[in-house]
Amino acid sequence: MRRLGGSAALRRSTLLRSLGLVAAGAVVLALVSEGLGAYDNLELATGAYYFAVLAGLTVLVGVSGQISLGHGGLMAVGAYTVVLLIGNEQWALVPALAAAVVVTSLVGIPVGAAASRLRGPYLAGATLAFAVGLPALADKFPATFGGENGLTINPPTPPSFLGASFELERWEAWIACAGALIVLFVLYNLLHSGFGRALRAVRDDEIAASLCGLRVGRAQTLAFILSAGCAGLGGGLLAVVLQLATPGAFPLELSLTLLTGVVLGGLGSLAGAIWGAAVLVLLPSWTNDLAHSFSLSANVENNLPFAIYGLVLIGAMLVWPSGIQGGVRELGGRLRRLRAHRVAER
Amino acid sequence: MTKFIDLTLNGVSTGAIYAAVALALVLIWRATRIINFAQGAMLMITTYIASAVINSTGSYWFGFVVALLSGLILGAVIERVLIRRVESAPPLNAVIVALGLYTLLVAVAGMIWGNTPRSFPAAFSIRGYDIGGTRVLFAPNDSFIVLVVIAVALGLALLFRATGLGLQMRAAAFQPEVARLLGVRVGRMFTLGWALAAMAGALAGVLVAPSIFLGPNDFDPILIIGFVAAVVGGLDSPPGAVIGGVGLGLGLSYVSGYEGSALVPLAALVILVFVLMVRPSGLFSSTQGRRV
Amino acid sequence: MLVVEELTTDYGAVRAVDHVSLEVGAGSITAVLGANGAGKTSLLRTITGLVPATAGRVRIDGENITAMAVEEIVRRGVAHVPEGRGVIVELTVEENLRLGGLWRRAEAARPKEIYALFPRLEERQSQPASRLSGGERQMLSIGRALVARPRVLLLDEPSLGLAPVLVAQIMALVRRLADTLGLAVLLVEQNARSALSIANRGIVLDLGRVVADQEPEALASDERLRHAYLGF
Ligand SMILES: Nc1ncnc2c1ncn2[C@@H]1O[C@H](COP(=O)(O)OP(=O)(O)O)[C@@H](O)[C@H]1O
Ligand SMILES: [Mg+2]
Repeated sequence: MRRLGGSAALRRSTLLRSLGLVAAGAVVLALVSEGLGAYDNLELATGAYYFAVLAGLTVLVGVSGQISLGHGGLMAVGAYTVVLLIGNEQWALVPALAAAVVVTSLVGIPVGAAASRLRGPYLAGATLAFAVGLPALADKFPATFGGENGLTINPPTPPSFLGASFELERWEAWIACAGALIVLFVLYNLLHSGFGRALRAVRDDEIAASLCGLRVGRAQTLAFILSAGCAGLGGGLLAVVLQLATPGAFPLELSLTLLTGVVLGGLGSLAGAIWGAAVLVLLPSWTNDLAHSFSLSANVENNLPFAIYGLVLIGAMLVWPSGIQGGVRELGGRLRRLRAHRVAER
Repeated sequence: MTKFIDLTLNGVSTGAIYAAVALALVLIWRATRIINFAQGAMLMITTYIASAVINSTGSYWFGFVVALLSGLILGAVIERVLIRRVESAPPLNAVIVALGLYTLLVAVAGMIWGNTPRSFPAAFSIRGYDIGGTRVLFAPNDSFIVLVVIAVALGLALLFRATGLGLQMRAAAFQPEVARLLGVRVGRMFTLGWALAAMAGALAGVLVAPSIFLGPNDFDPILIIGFVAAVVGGLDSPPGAVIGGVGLGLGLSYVSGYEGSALVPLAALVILVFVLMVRPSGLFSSTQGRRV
Repeated sequence: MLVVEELTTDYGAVRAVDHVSLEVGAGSITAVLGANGAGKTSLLRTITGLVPATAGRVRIDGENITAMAVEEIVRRGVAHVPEGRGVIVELTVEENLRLGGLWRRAEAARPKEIYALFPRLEERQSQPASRLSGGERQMLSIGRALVARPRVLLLDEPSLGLAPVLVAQIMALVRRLADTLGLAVLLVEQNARSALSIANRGIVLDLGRVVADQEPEALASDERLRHAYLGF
């Protein structure tokens, strides 16, 4: 039905809606970060760069139907790019982040082209090996990548017009949130364009899509490159927030955690990526607090957060197979039906 | 030349262990189309159980048998209690459940046995054989490892190829609905597939534990390489898992011997990408890869 | 033998089978006809328990099997040859056959007995079933159903995609099986003419409902039904 409307008008309205979303998001985030202390602002920054990665990953997994266990490796590419450019070449922050996106997208081209030939578990295996194998490069070329200890940079300085008392952590949160909003803007528009429809068609039925003239392999490769770019930006932001890049910051668990985030949040929607980022930031600290609120032996106390985390993952998948966003949508639908029912009864 | 021989022998013995892990993953993939990321944690638990039994009874063999039996039970229980509930959900959900289970089991092991790694005994001597005056990098215990894995692989082949039960397991894996129409109790076949897989995993655990230390996270690298081996061999093919495991064991042994162990993960990646580019669904898989 | 009473099946909001009742006695064939999407496959799938019934009952020799699991229904002597034949192409011809009788243990028919019915299969017994032609797959699929010595045989469009000569052969065989083994056969077909040629009773489904339930001759001579539903 939508296609019947003028497509130019449709494009304009999508653009306007996304600009509105971004503006609203910016205002809310600025206000929120105003009210937060240093620690919480760091958490906000963490959530923001997680969102950048998860949004790209949800397009790849939820919309184009591929899988990646290697996005932690792509984040590492972005992080090292930023650290090398800022630390060695004295680049400014924004061009360094842009370069991180470009370099990671370039890395994504061969990986995505290879990935588009592979199916589920084989793709999982290849990307998993990517996540595990890549950090070994840092050890192989210690002169460039600093080996096990990685590389560090100086913290970003808040611009002077914000005032002398503007906290570093708040500034970091702003940078990360700006990156997240850019990702939101770009992906929102892409998902509501012909490209988004093509990806969904490919996911739902590859053969039918190829019979309709869609170039399946190309669409999937593009989706991979896109999500790689997002992961690069997320990794670059991580480097800026932590002021370092080390192989240890990008273990296999990171890649698996990212996948967990998109599924728990709700696959295939940007709102789901927001939920996912929130879960990835909050769940570990909540489980930590919960575990430490009992008085227990050291072994139990140290491992309890992980046990709770594991239980939550399992429980969430059994209770909400479509993730938080799916649950929210179902709830919304039920409320709407209830209201329609009431109106009908009157 | 002696170094080459040493590396080859060492590759065969570690390759046998990778083969057992790969077999565990392949059996579960065939039965329920799930990549069992919890396998590493499951075999860690069964190895801890074996360690506890060995310590309290003093008998290696008692611990060995208990490890296999507890693997059998653990696999069956996990399939029944958890996996059955996500079988009809999108495939990624099962992946997340497996990851959650992994985290939970690792944490539980840490709670019970602590996070400090401990040693685990070998079944036989780990002093290399003396051949013509030189000591080679292959010990009686390595012979044991290789023989046990061969026995398990042959046993599984016999089960699948020569028995009615194996035929039903294969039918349930390939076409569950048709199998049900032919009277196959498909749910039981899935449970049995998980149980046998977990037993193969438990075997890999006790075999590898003497050469690494036994700690909650110490089996992860073996699981990853076992997974690569399974993918290289073709996830549908148990013989592929064995060949993939031994092949990878050899390849990685050479890389680690000549280029240093830091490069092993990267080498695994290169081997995997190379194989998948040539054969997108592994070397020995019977099903077709995507063609578009 | 097989009694279906007011059977109803829903897929969410779609009603695929709507209060269908029918009976098939031993040694007799009931043809279920109707256009694509009429609900024929859904009817068979509900009888064997692959899809849950919303309402109604299925009975075998008086025993209510409606809520049973597929595996249990099969053990009551129901064999279902599914749409598209359901040959497991990864297994050999012989393995497909053996699989059909495993639950019967010693009482299952030997592959030899099936090969006597379908000599073509014997020549190919150790080949993977993926090598078989469409007609051979249909023979394998029916043969595999017979291995368990069923009492009720449900056939979902056995003629689909086969050459007319083969269709005639299959129909003749189904008639012979009903007569010699005393099988109760529920035969779903779109090829109404050949199905009616061997049936004892004809039922026409439309939108899940029974719109006609008559002797085959009466059905075949009813101009209105033929035009509206049977296409000949
Ligand atoms: N799994 C399913 N989910 C939802 N609707 C279905 C499903 N299978 C069949 N249907 C619908 O049920 C109706 C009957 O289908 P079917 O039993 O296959 O008819 P037939 O075998 O006569 O062609 C059709 O409208 C079809 O679209
Ligand atoms: Mg049909």
